[in-house]
Amino acid sequence: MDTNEFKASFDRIRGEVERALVGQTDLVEHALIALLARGHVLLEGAPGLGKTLLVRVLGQVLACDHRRIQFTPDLMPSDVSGGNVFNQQKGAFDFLKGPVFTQLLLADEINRAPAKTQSALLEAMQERQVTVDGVTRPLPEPFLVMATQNPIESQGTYPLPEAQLDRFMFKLSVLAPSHEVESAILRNHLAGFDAQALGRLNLARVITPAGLLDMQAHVRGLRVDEGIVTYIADIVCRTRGHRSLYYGASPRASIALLHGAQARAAGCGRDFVIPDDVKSLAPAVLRHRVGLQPDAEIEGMSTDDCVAEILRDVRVPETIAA
Amino acid sequence: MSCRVLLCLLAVTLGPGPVLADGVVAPGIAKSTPEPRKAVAEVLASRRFEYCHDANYPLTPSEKNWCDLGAGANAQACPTLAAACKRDALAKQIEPDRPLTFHLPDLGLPLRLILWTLLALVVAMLIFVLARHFLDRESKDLVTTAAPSPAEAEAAAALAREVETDVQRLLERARAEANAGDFRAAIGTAYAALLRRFEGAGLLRVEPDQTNGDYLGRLKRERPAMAGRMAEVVASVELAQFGETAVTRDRFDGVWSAVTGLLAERVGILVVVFGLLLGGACGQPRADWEHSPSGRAGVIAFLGKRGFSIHERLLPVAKIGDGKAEQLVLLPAAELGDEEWRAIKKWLDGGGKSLVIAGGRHQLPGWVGMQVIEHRALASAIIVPGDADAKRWGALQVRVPEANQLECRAGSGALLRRGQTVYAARRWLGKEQGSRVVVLADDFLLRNASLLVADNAAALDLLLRDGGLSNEMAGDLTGLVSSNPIESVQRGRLGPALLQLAAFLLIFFACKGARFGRPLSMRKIERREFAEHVSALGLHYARAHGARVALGFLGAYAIDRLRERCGLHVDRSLSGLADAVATRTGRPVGKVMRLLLDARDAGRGAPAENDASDVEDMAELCKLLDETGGTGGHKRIQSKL
Repeated sequence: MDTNEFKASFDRIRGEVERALVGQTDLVEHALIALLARGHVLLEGAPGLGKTLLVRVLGQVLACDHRRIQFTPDLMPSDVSGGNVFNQQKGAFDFLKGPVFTQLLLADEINRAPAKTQSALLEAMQERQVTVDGVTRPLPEPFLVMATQNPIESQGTYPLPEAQLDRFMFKLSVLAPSHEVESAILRNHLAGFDAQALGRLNLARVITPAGLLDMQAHVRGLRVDEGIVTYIADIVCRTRGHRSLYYGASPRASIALLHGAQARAAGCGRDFVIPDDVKSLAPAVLRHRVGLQPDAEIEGMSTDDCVAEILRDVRVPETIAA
Repeated sequence: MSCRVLLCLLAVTLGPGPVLADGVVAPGIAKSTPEPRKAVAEVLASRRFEYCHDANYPLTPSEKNWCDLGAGANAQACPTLAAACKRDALAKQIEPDRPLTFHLPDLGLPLRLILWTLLALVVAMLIFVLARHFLDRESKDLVTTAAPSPAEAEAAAALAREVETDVQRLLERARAEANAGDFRAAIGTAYAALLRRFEGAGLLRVEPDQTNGDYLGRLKRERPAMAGRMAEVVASVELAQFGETAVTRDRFDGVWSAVTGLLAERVGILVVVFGLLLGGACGQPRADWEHSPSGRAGVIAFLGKRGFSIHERLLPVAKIGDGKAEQLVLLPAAELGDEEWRAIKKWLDGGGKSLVIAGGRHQLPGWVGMQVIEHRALASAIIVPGDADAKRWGALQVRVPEANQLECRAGSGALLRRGQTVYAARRWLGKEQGSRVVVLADDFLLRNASLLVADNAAALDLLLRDGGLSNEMAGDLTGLVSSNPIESVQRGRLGPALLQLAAFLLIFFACKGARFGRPLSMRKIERREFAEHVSALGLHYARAHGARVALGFLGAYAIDRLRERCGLHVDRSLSGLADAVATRTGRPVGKVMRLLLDARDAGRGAPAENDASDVEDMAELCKLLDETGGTGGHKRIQSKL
């Protein structure tokens, strides 16, 4: 696959998704970048902004198998990963695959389940495999987890542990649509759009899972200049000594930023990474991987403010400024 | 101004002696020297004297006066002036800036002493503060350079790197790098030139954290029409910088042509804007003033052709004794004080040959023996030789616009007369044929337009020739060169401004003390409320899964505050407090009681249900504090919790 083919496919996928999901250009782009960089996405936003729709549309356009898990306080780890069930006919245990055995997984309201259930996803997200009773089973490729959480409600929720958060490549805030977009959504519905009947939209299957794997392989082969590597390292290292941050980002963040930048570059039709790729993805990669000091939190700072401050302090490679 | 200086220097031609008008040969004039009319024609043949080559040349109202005197009739030397004379006066006369004179009042010795002492103190304090600041910085530098980290070393190297911001030099450097085969660097430098140009135009600001995408975004907002071409340049530059291991000449040529194209566009816009500004400010735009009819470039060139050596004097007139000029010509713009006049007198007494004063507002000293009187209603424009040297001048006729006349005292001889009034006069200092002073009523004879009228050129030649061939002109540039900074301040009349600056510094120093001049953090430092400290501590504990402890702290604080606000200093029971709080806030008594009990139990170390419920309780307590009349800090805490 060459650069032009990649860009054409990328644009077609995005175009098809945006036919169903109006006004969420950034969200769609970041989701595709995460998919192509073999990452996972944590979506934070109020209900009704199209998070579930995005996964369903992606599954249809990418011809991928997709499932949804509604996380609840009584959800058990085996409800996610599956488990061994005794088969009376055979007189032996059969492994019953859980919903995690899919290509696109929507973990809806992930913070409603307790930490032990959330942790059922740790191995799946990082190793792309599931181990039950000592037997390890690989997950189908490609594999993307899109988890959602509601930032408004706090009752009956369990904040995601740092180890879980670190496994998400991006944390994206799904913003409420503008007045124009809201109007466009209403017009679509008047014209017969029904989120429960996507088949009526005749969304094209733009690419096969095998084609998607080719695209993922192409992304990993993109050229990254030494200056870009240093730039990424500078940004991530600065999160560790920042005065307003309780803890900084891990090397996993650097890797995520690197591969994310590669995927973005490929999506823009380039076979090399530029500083803009890194800078534009840094907030999404870092905002959930750092913790604010309580005094900074009291002063009204957010992790996005800290990341923006770090980006202002780090020198862009090949800059002509003093 | 610098053009004038160059002209003066370039116009100097060393040639043998001159020839007077119409066959009258003056002593020491070589035969090869062109006669005055021919010399004038040769000078004005230069295209720089546009009024002689452009029929639409705009004249000023005062220059039109030369037309009435027949300047346009000399078609051989100046073919188009007659046509220019027929047009309306369109160009604006630029009045020379009048220097602002400011003298401090005489304050008397004690006050002057106080003033100078204060000034000295201010200067000393400033030096002390600056020295201490630099010493502090050096000591800090020593500490930090003891073990620089790689990041610090990189930052120091980046700071030490030369940053070129001049667009022309950047382009030259790009060319040089390309010629040396370093195409990658050349592309970067050419791109830097483009960015610097845009920065100069205020379209963007080059900062170390800005990416090309940031610059492009800014340009899209400011100049959408230009953004497309800029995007192409950026794509090529980024390909060279991050995408290619070997950059080719073709790549550089592509970037170069795109960059120069964009730069040319910017320059074009600037030229148009400049032209509009110029047009708006000065009426019809005109070529340089020195080559206009009112300038002197033609006169200097003419005198050069006639064998004179003539320079514009840059050093102060007070130092005239150090020069080697035989004759000094004082133009109206020359600034002369008593010191200068004394120096001139001393120079004349010590061997200086001639002083020519060409009009002006000077109050001439007594030893000159003449005074210029402003008079605008004279009888005739025609000027004829006077009594002195009448034979040498012969039948020369001079015509200049009417302006001033001279008042001569005993010992002065009229060289040129306009009717009954004297236009030019001479006085010998000491014995005859020694040093002389010649005074002209104005400086019209030394204007370019004058060369075309009557026998003015020949008369000027004759007038100056007796004073020697080595001449210096003192005008508005004279004295601009200072030998030391103090003199520079004196000449620039910056004394009052510096005094004001010193006063400002003194006031700032008095207000800010030693901190003045040091970089201070702009961050506002304010004391946090106690509640905020409690909340911060609570968050710390909650994060470490110790929300129970935090609730205990906050609970104890909240119960105390609530008792205080409800006025329950005697009744220490929780049920009484819950009743009072419920009454004030309108909440159910049961809920308030449960909250207060939880808070009290947490302080006593009772086990928690879970962290989430403890954090929730803290938020509720903050709400209660707020509703019962908090200071507002609780609202902020509440939003955090």
